[in-house]
Amino acid sequence: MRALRVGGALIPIALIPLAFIGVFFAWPVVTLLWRGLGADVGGDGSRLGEVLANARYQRIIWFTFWQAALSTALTAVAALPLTWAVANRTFVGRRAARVLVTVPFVLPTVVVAGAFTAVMDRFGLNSGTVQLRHTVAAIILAHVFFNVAVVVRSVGSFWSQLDRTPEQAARTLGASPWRAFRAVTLPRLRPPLLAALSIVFLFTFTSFAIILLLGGLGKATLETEIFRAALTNFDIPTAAALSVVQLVAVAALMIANTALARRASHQQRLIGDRAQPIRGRRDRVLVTSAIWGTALFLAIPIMTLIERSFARRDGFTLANYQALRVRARQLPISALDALANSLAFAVAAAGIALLIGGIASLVIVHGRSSLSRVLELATLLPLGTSAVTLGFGVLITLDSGVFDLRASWWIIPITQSLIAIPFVIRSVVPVLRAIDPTLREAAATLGASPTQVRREIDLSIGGRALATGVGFAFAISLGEFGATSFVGRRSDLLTVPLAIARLLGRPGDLLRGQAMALSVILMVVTALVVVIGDRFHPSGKGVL
Amino acid sequence: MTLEVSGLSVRFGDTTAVDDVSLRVPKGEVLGLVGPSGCGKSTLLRAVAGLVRADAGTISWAGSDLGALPVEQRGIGFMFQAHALFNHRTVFENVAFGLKMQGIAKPERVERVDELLELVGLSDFGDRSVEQLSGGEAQRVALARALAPRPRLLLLDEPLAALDRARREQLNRDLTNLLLELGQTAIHVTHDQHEAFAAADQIAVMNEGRIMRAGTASEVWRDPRSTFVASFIGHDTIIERDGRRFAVRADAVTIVAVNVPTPADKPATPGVVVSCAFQGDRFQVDVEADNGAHFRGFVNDRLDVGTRVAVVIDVSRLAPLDD
Repeated sequence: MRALRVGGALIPIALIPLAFIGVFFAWPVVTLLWRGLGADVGGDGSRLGEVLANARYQRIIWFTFWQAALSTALTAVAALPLTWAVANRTFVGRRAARVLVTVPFVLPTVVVAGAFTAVMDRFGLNSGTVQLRHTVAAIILAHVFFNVAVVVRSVGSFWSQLDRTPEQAARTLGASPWRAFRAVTLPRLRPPLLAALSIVFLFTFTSFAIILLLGGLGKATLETEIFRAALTNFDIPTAAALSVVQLVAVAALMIANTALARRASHQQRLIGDRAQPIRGRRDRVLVTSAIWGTALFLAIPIMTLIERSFARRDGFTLANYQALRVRARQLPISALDALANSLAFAVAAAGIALLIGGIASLVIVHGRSSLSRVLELATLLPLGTSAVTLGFGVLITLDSGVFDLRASWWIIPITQSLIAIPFVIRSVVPVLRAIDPTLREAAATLGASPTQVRREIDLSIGGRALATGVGFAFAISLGEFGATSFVGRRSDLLTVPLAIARLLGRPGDLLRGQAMALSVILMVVTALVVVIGDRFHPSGKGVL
Repeated sequence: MTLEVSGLSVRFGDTTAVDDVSLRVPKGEVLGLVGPSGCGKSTLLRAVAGLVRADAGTISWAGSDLGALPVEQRGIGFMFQAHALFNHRTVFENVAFGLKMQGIAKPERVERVDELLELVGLSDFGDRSVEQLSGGEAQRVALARALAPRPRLLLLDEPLAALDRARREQLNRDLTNLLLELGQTAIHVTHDQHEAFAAADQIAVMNEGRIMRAGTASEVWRDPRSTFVASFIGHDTIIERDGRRFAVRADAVTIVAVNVPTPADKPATPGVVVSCAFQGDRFQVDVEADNGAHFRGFVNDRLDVGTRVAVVIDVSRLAPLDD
């Protein structure tokens, strides 16, 4: 249909997000690949062959895979009871359960690491018969804690809307409830389950803070090894070669995930919420234990973290919080100054994400088809790049000429915004796409100019979704650790997650206490921003 | 002051949606534009509004060209099929939208919106969310919104299509009376000929992008001229007499018992009743004549299927066809 295009000045505007992504994302990633493959002039060739042949790196790659696989499998097992309960039974607090289960997922990863450190401290799991400190078990527990929400939310909502009549047909044909579940329901749940688990695998494969802080030196994955090679050993060629392996693996996982998600989205007829009230004692026991079991598992680390933040040897006190004002010897600035830094970066990153993500969303929805497709892909690519490779790429690329931003304040919010922009776009674009085009036509026939149409219709409707996205951007920036470890090298620009990591890394009650207090502050701010932002989203369901 | 459309064509790729259409709507009149779905009537309307670019032809109002103006400057109101109300705004804000675009000050805006809400019978609805409205209420808000900026011409693109039949007839009468009362110049598109006949001063019947017949409702009904228009407005039977083809209007058909003698200028065709449907005040009877033709007529008393009857045709009421 050749409808009159309302407004023609889209091309120059589209260049802003394209240029931003080009300079701050595409160029660094291409440079990283280039160096990793040894193609740069004057470089000393690729280490890729050496790295792949080296037994130590082979072990690291293997460990990266199997810890992710095990974390994913255990996440599925841990999530199943609650997923079943929210999908099949109505109970008081069902909505709240869906929201609360999401809290661990939005917590900054350093806070999760802090919470599990708190658990180990509190329950004496650092030594003795049950020893968790610096074990794979600690890493995997933290991963499961973090990712349960992914399965509960996506599979749960799919399952709750799944047509139950095939299952009932199986029952009338003589199948037991368990048999009907296995033979009829489970196969239909498989596509969304696989899509959710592939996301969990991707997250745990690229996990950084949890592995670095809970695993210790002995438990290296690709992500932590890139960090170590680049920033501890200053061995850029090796770090670049490892990054190539990481980029390729993540790209493959992203492609697999996209394919799985597409299959999951158009296979089953979904017909509104089918959950039933609880019936009978056995049912009540099952639902109650599913809810409380999961609640306990998710609440214990958070509660312990809060408890530890107030604990000193001589009882409960605010001392850990008060100490944040004073600079600890192990930190270049006081924790409170770090908080000020983090908030300033978060405001800047959210502002950049608002500008770039907002423009990109408009162009994606309204632009000429080829341009909007290019932009949509370009702005979503950072999702498929691990934070560490992104930070590393920026660090080694933007180091000369006009783009020498290594010492600049802005490099931190810019890098963080790259991770946040896809979330802004994923929040806004579906809402703009869902606007009935006749609304814009109606506005035009009522005398609205193209600019007024954008303001009165697109901005007015998309504004709330944009607010949600910008809230996420703020939260992402606050908690960002992987990329900031690379670009936040100036000691006066220390952020809260970097400060927590440093404090957690050292022994000593005082520092631990401060780390816990700082984690609690970060947790509260992040959770507030995300939960409030999500309520804003016009879909009513939020995007979480 | 008159809307004049001349030689208007709209093409989408290889298909011509509107093919060399010309029409006039004098100020204060309502043109009913009818045709089957896909005949191009909506596209014609959208081209007049400026929502679709015309490939050829001119659109003018009182002699001045509208074709070059963008939608928002044509001063043409539009009522959409699915009413297209702004869900993120209240009823008041919806109706006030066009006035706000004109930069009209708030007090005047409030006054005009109140006036329009009263006109459509929704005085107390200003603060309501659009999502709380019933289908009929939403249509009335859409009408108030389209009328608020005082458009020189109002285009109605099957605004009642989404409603159920009973509601539609009622609203259609209300709408017609209101437009007449306001002296609002309008084009009312519908695929239902009854709706158009009830609503308009002038009728234009469209098919395959062309206007097949235009005139007053009774002119078109009495003399449809083409087979398409005849069958579209319900003259289902075509007969041939003296080498010419005629559409048989319902008022030309009388169904009588076989043994009743008939005058010479009203030839009788024998046949058999194939269906008899109760319509409240009368029965609609379909007859299959012995020569194979089908006729429809109306009787006061029930006739059993299979009853032999004679179909008497009033030749003076046959509509000659040109094609």
